[in-house]
Amino acid sequence: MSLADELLADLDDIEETTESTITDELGPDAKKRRLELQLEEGNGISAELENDLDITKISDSAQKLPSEVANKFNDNNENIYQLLNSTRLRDIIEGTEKYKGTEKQAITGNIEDDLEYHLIVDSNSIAMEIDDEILRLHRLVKEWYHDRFPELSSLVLNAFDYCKTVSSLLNDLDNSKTKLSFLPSATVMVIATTATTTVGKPLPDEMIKNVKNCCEAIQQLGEEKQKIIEYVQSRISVVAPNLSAVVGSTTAANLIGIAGGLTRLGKFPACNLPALGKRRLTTIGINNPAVSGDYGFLYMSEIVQKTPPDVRKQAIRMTAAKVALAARIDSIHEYPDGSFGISARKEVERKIEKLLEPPSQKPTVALPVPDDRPKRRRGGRRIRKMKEQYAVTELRRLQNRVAFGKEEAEVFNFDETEGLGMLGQEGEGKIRAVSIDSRTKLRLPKARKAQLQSMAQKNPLAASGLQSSLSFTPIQGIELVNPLLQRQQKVEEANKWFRDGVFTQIKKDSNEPKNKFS
Amino acid sequence: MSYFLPHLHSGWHVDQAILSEQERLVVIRFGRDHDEECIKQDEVLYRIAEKVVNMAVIYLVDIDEVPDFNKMYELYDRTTIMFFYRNKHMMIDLGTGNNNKINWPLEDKQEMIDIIETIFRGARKGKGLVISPKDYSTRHRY
Repeated sequence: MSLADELLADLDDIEETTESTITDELGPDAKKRRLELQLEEGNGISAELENDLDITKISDSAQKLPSEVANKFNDNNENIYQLLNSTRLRDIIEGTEKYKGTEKQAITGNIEDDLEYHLIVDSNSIAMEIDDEILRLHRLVKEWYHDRFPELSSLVLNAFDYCKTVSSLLNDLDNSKTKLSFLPSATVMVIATTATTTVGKPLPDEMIKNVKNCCEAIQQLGEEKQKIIEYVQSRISVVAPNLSAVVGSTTAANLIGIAGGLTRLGKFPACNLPALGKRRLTTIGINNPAVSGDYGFLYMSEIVQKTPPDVRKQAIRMTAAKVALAARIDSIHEYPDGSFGISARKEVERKIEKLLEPPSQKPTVALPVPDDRPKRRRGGRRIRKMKEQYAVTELRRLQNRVAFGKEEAEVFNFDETEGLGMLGQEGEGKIRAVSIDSRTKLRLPKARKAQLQSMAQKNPLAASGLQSSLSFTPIQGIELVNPLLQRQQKVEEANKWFRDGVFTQIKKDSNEPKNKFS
Repeated sequence: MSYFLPHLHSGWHVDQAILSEQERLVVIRFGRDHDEECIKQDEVLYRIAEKVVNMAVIYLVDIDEVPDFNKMYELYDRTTIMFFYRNKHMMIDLGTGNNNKINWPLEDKQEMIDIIETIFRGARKGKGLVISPKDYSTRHRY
């Protein structure tokens, strides 16, 4: 296993073992300290892993020159400034220079087919890469310069200010007041006083050279980034007029860059937009539960930032919805004048203003005059009757009691038995026998009664179920008679003699009898 | 003392206030405006005045300014509330033994509203004495 591989494995294990354990083979103390510093900073881990190629190269050189700290990075300065020297950055800068003078024409057709569009997207993404690069180099400078002036990194936090300070101070910490005129006077004062008591020792010339180069690189990167950003912002209002009207050109450029194009941004659902470009702010000491959440590009946009923290979440959501719409509109080149974006922006602003309004005060409502009307009557004849019907009678009461030392009578209702209690028992000392209360008798309701009556009238032939066609005769015993057949026989007999209401023997011929008797 | 509640500055004003009100109860607080207990009581009365406006009208009387009723109504307490309906004095059984008036600062708004409503109901039914919804006798206080 090569040393580089081992180092990589170590970096992978960083999360488990916070204390770095570098094997003795590594040798140089400075190397070890450098890695520990990285670990302490914590947030640099991922960035370093991304640039692992870079690190391995550095480590290779470190192996070659184990004892000389100053010479450590001599061979690979080009590798440190990889991005700065990359052809990609060159190309983009050249491209922006080329297009800068020309006025951007409105895009027609598919936006992805436009030549300049890709340049815009690329420059946007490289602007973010430059940010990361600056962060990395800044850390490197802090590390190197730590031996000379360890306190400086906590006094000047901004990367560019720090680099400027370092490159003007270098090994000579005296006369800081005249050298650091670009810093605020209070900071200069603190630096000057701290410099008198610092424990740092002068660095070797080689190291100073490295520091100086690195600082220059950071400054250069900053300038390049500024140029690129200016270019993107000048173009974004043409490429995405509605989107930039909603959130401003900077945020619009960032969003397009991270989504990988305008069409792709349009395909994002609105709920995912706040997460774009998310960064943890807790690491830099802001840990307020009121403003926790997504700190993406939308959070950093001007429209969200100017709202108070308690409604920021809602502001982000509303803006995200409009951003999604605007991105879709821009990707198909509707509203090239950005009028949709402007109206959407106004709408969001109006809604935020509405959210900030104090709640309306309710006027005190006077109590109503108590309404003392007489109560509605409950009960009456009908209710009384109903109550009587279901009241516990003397009979029931007796059934529910059990005489002491006497067996109660039982009745069998199909499959269950019912005890009769004291009912029907002698010697209770009662003179009068218990009578059945007529009020508790079962009755048919009036409506049901009427219904039965009307049914009987409609169908008089319907015989009662209790009627029988069995008749008992004294002679032959039981005879089963079919009443219908009986009736038919009667009719036949009648017809025999009385058809047409006259005797059948006399022919109903009108002419014949006339002739006969006349 | 409450600046938001109307003051009655003479015996005649008091009489007129009681006489002229036909539909509502007349609630009069007798006491001294600068008195601490009076101030507390006035605060409660002011808070509920708007709520009970359909049932009662509330007036304040300074017993130093208008001493006419002190003897007749025995106004010796620091704060006294009395109720009138159609020129008739309404009595209320509070459990204290004195049915004529509330002679301590009653600091609960809802209780005050309840008392006013009870008296109003009774008064409309022609009663001269009503029973308070809550017993204020000392055995409940201790």
